Amino acid sequence: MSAAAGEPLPEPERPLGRSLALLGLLLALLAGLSLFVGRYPSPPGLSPGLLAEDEVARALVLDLRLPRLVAAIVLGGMLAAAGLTMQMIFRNPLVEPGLLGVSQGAAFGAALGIVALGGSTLVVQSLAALFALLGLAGSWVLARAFRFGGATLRLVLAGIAVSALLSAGVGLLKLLADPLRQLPEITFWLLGGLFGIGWEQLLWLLPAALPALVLLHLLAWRMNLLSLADETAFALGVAVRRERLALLVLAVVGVAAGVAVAGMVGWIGLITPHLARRLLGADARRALPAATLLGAIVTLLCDDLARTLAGAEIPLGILTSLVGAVVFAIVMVRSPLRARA
Amino acid sequence: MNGARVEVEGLEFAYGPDGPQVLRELSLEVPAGSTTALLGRNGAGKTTLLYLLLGWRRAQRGRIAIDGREPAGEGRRRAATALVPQDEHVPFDFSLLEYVLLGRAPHLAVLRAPGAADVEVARRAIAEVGLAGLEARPVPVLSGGQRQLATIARALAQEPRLLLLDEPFSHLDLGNAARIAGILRRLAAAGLTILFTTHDPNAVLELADRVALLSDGRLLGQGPTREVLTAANLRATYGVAVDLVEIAGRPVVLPPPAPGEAPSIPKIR
Repeated sequence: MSAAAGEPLPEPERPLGRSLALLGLLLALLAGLSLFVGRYPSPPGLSPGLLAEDEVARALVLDLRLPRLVAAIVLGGMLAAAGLTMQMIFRNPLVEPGLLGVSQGAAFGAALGIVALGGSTLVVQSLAALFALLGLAGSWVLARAFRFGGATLRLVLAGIAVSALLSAGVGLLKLLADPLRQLPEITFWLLGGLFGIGWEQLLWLLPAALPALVLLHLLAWRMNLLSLADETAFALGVAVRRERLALLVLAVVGVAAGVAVAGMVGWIGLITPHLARRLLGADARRALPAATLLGAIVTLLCDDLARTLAGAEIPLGILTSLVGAVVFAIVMVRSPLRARA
Repeated sequence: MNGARVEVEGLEFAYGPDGPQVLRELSLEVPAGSTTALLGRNGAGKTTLLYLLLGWRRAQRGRIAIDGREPAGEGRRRAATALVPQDEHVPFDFSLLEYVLLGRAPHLAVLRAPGAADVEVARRAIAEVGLAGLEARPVPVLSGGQRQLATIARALAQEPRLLLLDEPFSHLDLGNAARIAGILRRLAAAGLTILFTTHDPNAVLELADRVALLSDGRLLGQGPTREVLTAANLRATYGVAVDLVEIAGRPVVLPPPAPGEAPSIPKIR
């Protein structure tokens, strides 16, 4: 929370406070509820008692809703943690994890898979993850060649250039796509969603996202150091370039895995770090777990809405953008702009 | 406290192979426990020299020794040298205590966060600069003077033996400048070696027992303040004639008089 003058903040030596426990509890309750909310047998959902007698209900909960719920929690947590990480290491509260060619790289990879390589789930996901990482690598390489501005500005500018290039590629692939079969598939993928998630899809997400999340949390205090000017961080013994690159790669690998299975899910990575900082202060030892929990909560909530609001699935990306934009506007209007963003 | 001793010999530095030469043949001596000022015009190379002492920049030629050792390379945990940059930008709402705690980083391994003992050191540093009671306040809402004090506290939490300050008095009002001068005097009396850059000769007279005059990357003179800070040397440094006068027993540097205005205070030399 951006505490008012004199208002006591939680002690930094006790980073796991009551607020985190409350967020965890909220997530657990929502997760429990999410298993039973849906359009079967009729909205708003099924009663837990039905599980014992209805085989279809059991299969629905265990094979469809449970993996989907796990995916929503991990995806949301990962996007939020990556967003907070990137905002801190780039010292800019308006950065989001898709920056640096990651989002557009994934979009290009997926579109390429759909148009040129048959569009099987495996191909689309592999190419999305691969091009997300290539987008980052391209931004990094280009930034090193730039002869303008400081290291961070160069990287952000290179990311914008690489994103624009990949976005042009996506446009071209859309133009080449079969308008009846491939184009809707690309559009649906670009809007994001967890409709195709089963247990085997989690094998994509979890091995990349869980270690990334754990390592990011272990390195949370280093993020605080990297949010200072480079020369100050250097004076404090930080290996500025090495540590920034390590945190960046952890964040992007996790996000690439998430984008590969869920498509483009916007705004979670930008909004939830702001909410987390307002709730628990800027110290990443508290803000990072808070953002991760909030990201999981918001994504799970949006996914529940996505599959229950209408007869047909609403793409998750539409709901996260809608909710995200409204929440963001409210936070920005209400927040005293201390961060001098 | 044992202050560090700094020796610099024949330093040559340019930003990049085609960049202009920033420092030329620069040699400097900062005795342990002294308060030394680097005085010069804007762009004279003062900040660059601080970065070289820190190890953040590497000189093309010459030698730097802090207690006989080269400045630490990137990622090396060495607490001995602390930096107070000019106007540190803190982009997030860290509380004062969280911010000052960052100064403990050189004492902690990469995967370790500060513990209760570090919090104690940080609290002492905050009290040392007179900000006790404001520990929970977000740094971005502190006043300009308090932010400068917070940055000094962050540097002190590092428990350094050499404190580098870049223009510590610019942007400060008279009261805050005096407050910071008082803190630096106390730290010097406790044995800490202090090196600060400034373009204000009166700050040097006020605070430094030694001064090094820098002009276009060259050293024009160094030594005890009263010996080196002469009207002739100041003229050579700034390119204008200034008056060095005595007011209430204290030397003061005055800007050149307006045309036709006769100085009414006797010059020292």
